[in-house]
Amino acid sequence: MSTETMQAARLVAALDQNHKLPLDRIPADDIAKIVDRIAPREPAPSGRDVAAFNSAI
Amino acid sequence: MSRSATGPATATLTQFVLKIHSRCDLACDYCYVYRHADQSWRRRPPTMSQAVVRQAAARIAEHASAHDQRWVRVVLHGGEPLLVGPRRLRAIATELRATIEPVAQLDLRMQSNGTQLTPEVCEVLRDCHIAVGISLDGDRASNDRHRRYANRASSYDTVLRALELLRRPAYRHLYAGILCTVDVRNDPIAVYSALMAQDPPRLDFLLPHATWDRPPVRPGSRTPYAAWLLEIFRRWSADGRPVPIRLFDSILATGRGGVSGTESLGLDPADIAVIETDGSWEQADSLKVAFDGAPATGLNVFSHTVDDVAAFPAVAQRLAGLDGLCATCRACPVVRQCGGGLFAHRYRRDNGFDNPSAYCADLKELIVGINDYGSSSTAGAASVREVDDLGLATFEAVGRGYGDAAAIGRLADLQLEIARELVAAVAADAPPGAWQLLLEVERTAPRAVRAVLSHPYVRAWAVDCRRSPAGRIEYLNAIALACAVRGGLEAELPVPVHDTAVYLPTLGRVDLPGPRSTPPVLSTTPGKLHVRDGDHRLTLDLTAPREPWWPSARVDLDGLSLVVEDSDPHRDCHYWPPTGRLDEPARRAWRQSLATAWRIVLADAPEQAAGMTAGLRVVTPLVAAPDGRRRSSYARHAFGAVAVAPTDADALAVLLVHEFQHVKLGALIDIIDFYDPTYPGLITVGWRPEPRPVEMVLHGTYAHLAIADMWRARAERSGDAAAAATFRRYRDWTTEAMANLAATQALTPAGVRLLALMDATIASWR
Repeated sequence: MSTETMQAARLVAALDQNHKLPLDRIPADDIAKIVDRIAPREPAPSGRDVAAFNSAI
Repeated sequence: MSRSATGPATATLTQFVLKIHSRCDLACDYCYVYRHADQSWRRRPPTMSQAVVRQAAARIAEHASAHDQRWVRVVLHGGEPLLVGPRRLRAIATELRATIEPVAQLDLRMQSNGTQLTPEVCEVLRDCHIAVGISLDGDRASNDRHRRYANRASSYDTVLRALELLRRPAYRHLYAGILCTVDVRNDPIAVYSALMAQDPPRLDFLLPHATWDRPPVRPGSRTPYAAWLLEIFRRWSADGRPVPIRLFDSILATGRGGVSGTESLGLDPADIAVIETDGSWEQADSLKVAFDGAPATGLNVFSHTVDDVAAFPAVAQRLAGLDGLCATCRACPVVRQCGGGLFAHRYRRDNGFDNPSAYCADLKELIVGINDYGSSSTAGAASVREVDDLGLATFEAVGRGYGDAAAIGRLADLQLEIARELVAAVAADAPPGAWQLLLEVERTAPRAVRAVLSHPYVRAWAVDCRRSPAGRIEYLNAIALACAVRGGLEAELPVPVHDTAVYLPTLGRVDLPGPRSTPPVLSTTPGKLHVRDGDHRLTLDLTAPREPWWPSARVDLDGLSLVVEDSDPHRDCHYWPPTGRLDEPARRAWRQSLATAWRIVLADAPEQAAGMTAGLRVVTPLVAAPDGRRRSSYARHAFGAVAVAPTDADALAVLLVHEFQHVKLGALIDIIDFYDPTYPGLITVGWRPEPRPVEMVLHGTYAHLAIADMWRARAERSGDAAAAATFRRYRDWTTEAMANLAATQALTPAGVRLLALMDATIASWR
């Protein structure tokens, strides 16, 4: 498993590529990087991982 | 900070460099601390005492309080700051946070050479929320040219180990970026490629310090620094500008009339002060290159306030913007982007700092080169790689605040893939059986798996699981069984009970009250669900809603098919609590209300409706507010779900559009970096009394854009003055917040493009 997170510049291409694969064929390295970016185990200290947004109305 | 470019009304400082250790374990031959004119380090204690830290923190807090500053930045610096050791570092950070944070938000950072960065140090950095930037000059050959130990040994491998540590998921959020000092004898592309290989969240290039008395090394060319940097700029642009590079972003931003974000360029006030290990207040560190004692102020933290420092004549000059520049600079066509360069680089023994930069010719050529590149080709307009990968048409359609079924369908496909990868990531912790069943269904009935994994709260569950799998992971059995039912496969698995029911996502729930020691086992045959709950057995016809089987409450409207979700155990991820399970009259009331609201959306926001048909899958009822105020919410990890408390159909239509805007933007934010997540500033908005973080403002702006459009349509159709006034209020909130966002240093090139698209929508209303 990789220790790096997926940068935005590579993310969409990786998602598109993996979308064509069966669940058990998605490269583990991609899964680790993508999941670390989208849902890190520890939420980022600011902004990035806002779990919910209170309507401003 | 709000100050004009022609000078401050009230000088304030927001950034403080704390020299917590004045010695360094490297002996870089270009270092301004040890190798240039100022030698004051020899006269100072090696480390900053706790008494100085305490007093410095008190001064910073005092200044923040007096000037109502909402945030300040403190950069721990040296020498090499990590030479203080992890225990002392923790004590320093704790003191700073305890004193400053009751008054203002503290953005605590460090610039380090990386040689002392160990797992133990990283733990302290994480505990104390200290973001760290690392100095590295590129590939091994380039880095070794200057950045060596005193015995001439290379620091390269040690620094790469530090960067490897910072890339680990546990510490990644502390990785602030890489700072590279330019040497034009190095291969610019080799340097850029080596830096990018370290996967930095951002980069910056620093010109080596020089003055008119010690001019820059210029081998074979009049402007070698411009040529060197432009080569990297072109490569970075061709790569899709994958990370922010502060030097280039600054020139691009000031070219659009924005702020520079760096003291090296532009006319932003250089609102920085330095505190040395002995408590002396000093001006910017870079002044050490000018003459011995150049940064000195004669002030110290024990006797002098930050206001005293801000009023110090040389500091005030650096806060004076255009008025603080020499006549040559003031007459220059690129002065607003250059700002005379770094203050220290203007020094000449004859007349002090009243000169252009020693890099004047390079800076001018660099700025003109970048400006020309941006305006002469499509590269400047469309060179963000993730935007290209998403599809320009999708980005532009959604970026304008709309997005038809194709555009939103594209986002939904990417969201499904994110959900698949999250499920695959947590499956390793699942009990045996579920994962194998999921794979089997996918082989024989892939659409069934897609339908279930597209359910909004599957991702919410997976995210919860990833953070804390205990007691949650068994729900994968319910997901796999739901896939099997949809795919027509026979299967049998135990399923967890939530509250007093088991739930199969997208299908419905089985009420199973009563105590039990083991979870019920569910098995499927075509059209049937068999339940074994202890000694109790029952068979349910899935096509017939009859106690205890409650199918999901599907609502099919004109082009829109969704579920009123009152049972999913993972729906409680919105800001407000969801209702409990609805009885049949309540479900009927929701169907009627949604049908009326949808007709209103079709009439008042047809362009939004087109996208909602492809992306809105779930409406989750919320508990009504005790005071009757409207409640609605989206959830970041539940694409396709909107939660709302009961309200009248007119308001419900607006709330659906509003929250679906958040859903769309959340999906974009997943895949595109629109802003610097470490940006600590808060932004004033019209719709809230308190300033908001960047992501919240982006969300509010994007949502209000659609609401303004909706009220514009209502006003035009009805001629109603109240509707017109509501339109103007939302439009003005949106434009004002967009202007405030644009004025920050927080937006990436993609973020700037997003604002430009939203701006185009507003312009189309005129």
